[in-house]
Amino acid sequence: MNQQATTVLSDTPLLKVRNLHCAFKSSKRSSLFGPYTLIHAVNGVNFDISPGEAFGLVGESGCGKSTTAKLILNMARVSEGSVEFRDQELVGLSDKAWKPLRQKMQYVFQDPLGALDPRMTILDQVIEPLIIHHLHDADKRRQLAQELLHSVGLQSGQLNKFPHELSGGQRQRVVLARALILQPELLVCDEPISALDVSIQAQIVNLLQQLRRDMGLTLLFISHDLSIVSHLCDRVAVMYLGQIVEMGPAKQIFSDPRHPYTQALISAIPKAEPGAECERITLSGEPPSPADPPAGCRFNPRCWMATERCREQVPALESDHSGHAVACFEAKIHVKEVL
Amino acid sequence: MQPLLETRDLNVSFATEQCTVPVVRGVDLKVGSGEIIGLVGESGSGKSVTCMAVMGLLDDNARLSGEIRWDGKQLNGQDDRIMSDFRGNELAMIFQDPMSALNPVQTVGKQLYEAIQLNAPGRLSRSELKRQAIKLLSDVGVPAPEARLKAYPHQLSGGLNQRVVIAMMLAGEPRLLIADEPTTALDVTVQAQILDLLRQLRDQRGMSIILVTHDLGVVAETCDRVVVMYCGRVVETGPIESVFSNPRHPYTSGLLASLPRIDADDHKLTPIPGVVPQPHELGEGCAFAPRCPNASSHCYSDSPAMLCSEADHFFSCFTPMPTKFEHSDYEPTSNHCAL
Amino acid sequence: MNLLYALQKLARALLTVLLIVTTVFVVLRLSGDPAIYVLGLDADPLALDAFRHRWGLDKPILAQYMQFLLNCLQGDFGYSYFEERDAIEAVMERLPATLLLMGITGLFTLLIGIPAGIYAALHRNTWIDRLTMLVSVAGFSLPNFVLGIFLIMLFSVTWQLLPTSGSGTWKHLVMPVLTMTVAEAAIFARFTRSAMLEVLNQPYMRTARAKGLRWHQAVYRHALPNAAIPLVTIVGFFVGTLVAGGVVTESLFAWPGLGRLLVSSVANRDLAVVQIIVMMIACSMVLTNLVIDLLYGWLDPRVGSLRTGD
Repeated sequence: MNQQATTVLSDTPLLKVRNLHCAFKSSKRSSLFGPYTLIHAVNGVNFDISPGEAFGLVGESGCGKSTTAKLILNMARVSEGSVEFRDQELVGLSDKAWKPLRQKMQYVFQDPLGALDPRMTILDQVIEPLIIHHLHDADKRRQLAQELLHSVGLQSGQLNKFPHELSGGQRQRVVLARALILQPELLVCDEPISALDVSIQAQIVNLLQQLRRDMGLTLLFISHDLSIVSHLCDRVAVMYLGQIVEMGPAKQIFSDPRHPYTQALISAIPKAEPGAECERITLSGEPPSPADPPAGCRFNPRCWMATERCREQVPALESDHSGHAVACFEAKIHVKEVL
Repeated sequence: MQPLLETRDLNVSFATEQCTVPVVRGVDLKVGSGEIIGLVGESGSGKSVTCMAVMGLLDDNARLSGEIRWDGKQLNGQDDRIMSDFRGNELAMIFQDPMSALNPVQTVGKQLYEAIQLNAPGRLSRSELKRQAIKLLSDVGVPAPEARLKAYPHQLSGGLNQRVVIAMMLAGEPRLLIADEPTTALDVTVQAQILDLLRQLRDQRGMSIILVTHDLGVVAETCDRVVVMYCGRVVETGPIESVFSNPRHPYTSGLLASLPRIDADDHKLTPIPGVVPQPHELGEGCAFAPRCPNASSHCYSDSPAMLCSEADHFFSCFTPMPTKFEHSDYEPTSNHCAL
Repeated sequence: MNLLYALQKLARALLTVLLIVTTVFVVLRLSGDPAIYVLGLDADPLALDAFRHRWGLDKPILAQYMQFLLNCLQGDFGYSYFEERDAIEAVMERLPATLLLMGITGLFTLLIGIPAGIYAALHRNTWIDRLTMLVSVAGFSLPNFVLGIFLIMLFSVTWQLLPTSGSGTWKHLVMPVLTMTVAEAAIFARFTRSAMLEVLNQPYMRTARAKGLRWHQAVYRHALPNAAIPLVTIVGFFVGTLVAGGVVTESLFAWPGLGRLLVSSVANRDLAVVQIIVMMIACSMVLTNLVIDLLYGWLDPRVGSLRTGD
């Protein structure tokens, strides 16, 4: 557990995502010999993640947050753009060149049962990545796996059990241990707790926080649950229909949301305090299909502040001095007034 | 005043090949007219089974005992023919995943017509069916209702499908709507819309609602009263202000402490340790004892009775959380109160 | 379902037929010299050459193929060397007998298999369900030539109730139909049962009950139409197994149908006849699958349409 315990926030980002696009053909053509309909799932996404940082990517279903993670991990095809990890370009790398990188970039997905091999014991599943990457000898592998499983909160008696014998929370601990055994620098978590019971979610969130501290992990945390993200992440990007609409330090995003979509999203979270009536912004309608995005700002059909300009031009993501960036014409006017 | 729905000592168990598994264990529930009750619990708490028991839609291998009373008349044990007339007409239910809650091979219109016809006194003409269907759809806020009648469920979004299901269930103007995790599969902005709709239905039609959810935030924003279930038992019940501000059962208080809050400053989440026990692991004592910070030896051997905390606020615990006196000058008692 | 979807399926079906015809043509030409089969191994080499020349067998295979396609388009499907008449004539003569056998078998299969499967699913885990499934497993595990011989021994030899072979009366039909129906109905019963069980567990069945439908109404209006979708798929396989089973069964009971003709024509290297029969089988399979695809589009609105959203 001593590896990379130095959490130096340096200026060079660990992960650099530039102008990332992902478009795929739907299975249907527009006419008999016409082109297939293009679905633009991720449309020009830019962000950096510094070493040791916890970066949150939030948005509703279909906004492209999971696709972004898959693009970074080479699990979906990048149509355009670049992803750099420690100054190494990842887009276009061969599978062979990816193998050593997999060691440094690990991921945890939503469904812990589906992610585990039902016929392998817990201990074997955690040892397996070491075998694949030809690390250590058999005794050392076993010892490392046992140590790690203990540190994610599993007891010795559970190590020889099979996934179906564990509860959801315990399984997600195993998945975490399996991802961490290679001592990755970047851990990508896609909705890691949404399949878990409420009373178990907090356990995993605390575990992630503790692991991050102990191992100096950099975290890309993807979730639809804003309160978890606000709790866990240093910086947050809010996505809508394949684009980042607002990005910045988590504290600022949640205390002073500037994009109307972020404002609506935050106000929509039900708060477990009866009577704490805050002003609820109820959006009308639902996000349009990424196959047919609206012109101009993609949020304009649901936005209560939309003007003629929003329907015609696409606002760029522009940052203020504190690193709080927003892609909205109206928000900037608001900011200027405040300044 | 006589409650609209009342269950007395409701027990449901499921017979499997090996044994019978108790899932609901002595649940007393009261739903008044025009009241929104939140039924909260994690997986295995028996909240959904309680609802299915009330609907009379338990699987064949379920064994039910106790009483379900509707307007003072006993409901359980009735012939399915009588229950079928009752369902949709007096008592209706909506489900978690709106995308699969509608028949995929029938148009929305056809499914609505069926529901309307079922609750009509005589045979209705096509145009009358259509008129009523359009009215129902516009009542639940479906835009362009006439065009939707020809749509198939897969052509509509999750939020719209949930509105269609609600419209269908309103056809018989039921007095009680059971909503089983109606927003869990939906995005947070759409969730806010559906919860608004449910509240509006109560306000306009005086309909009672049982809202089953695992999300305490949803309960706090929507319900009048909350019933917290754990492992098939009601552990705490009362008006939401009282329960949320002064939870007496350690489970309720633990759930509230484990929630991340968007506005709170870096408070550490306090998870409930351990795992939810499986139904076959339950013994005589309090099911929460193994995870309870206050548990004494007494808790493992005996099952606590319902105690009264404040007016209408009950909990079942030998070692409850301390009372706070902020909200009332009501003297806490530990007298047994009949529910 | 839209026109575009139908056209795409039709184009694919035509391509498949062409591919099969070509394959059959090539394989048959490479599998032996018909001249030797017809005239005998010790025939005069000159006579063999004359035979080959007469039927164009001495030309390069590509030229033969082009000629064959051209002839097919003009309705000329070749000449049967063995029967010494137009091959199509020999085939058409046998077609009615086969269609009769398959038609009756198909009817019985569907009428027995599907209701049995539905009944078993609706009475899941009762003794009647277990019995149905036991019979079903036994039915499709039994090879049809074994069952056929067993039936002959029982009904013809021991009890002398039915004729062993031939055609003409309804009595001749009983054993061939029974032989083929048992296995097919067994498979249908099993598939229908699992399709029904799957559908009965769907959330929309709960919705149907919650809105006040009685159990049988919910089954009839919501479960059956949905269970029909996967069933339609296996009808495609069904036609295939019917053809394969037909060849064996016809031979066993000396039923004067296409199956028996196919077996004897292959043995005699009667190229034109084999070709026509294989083409017919291929076309009927492709046609069945085309119909199934179109049925799919009709039964299931999710097929062949885009999510339009709002």
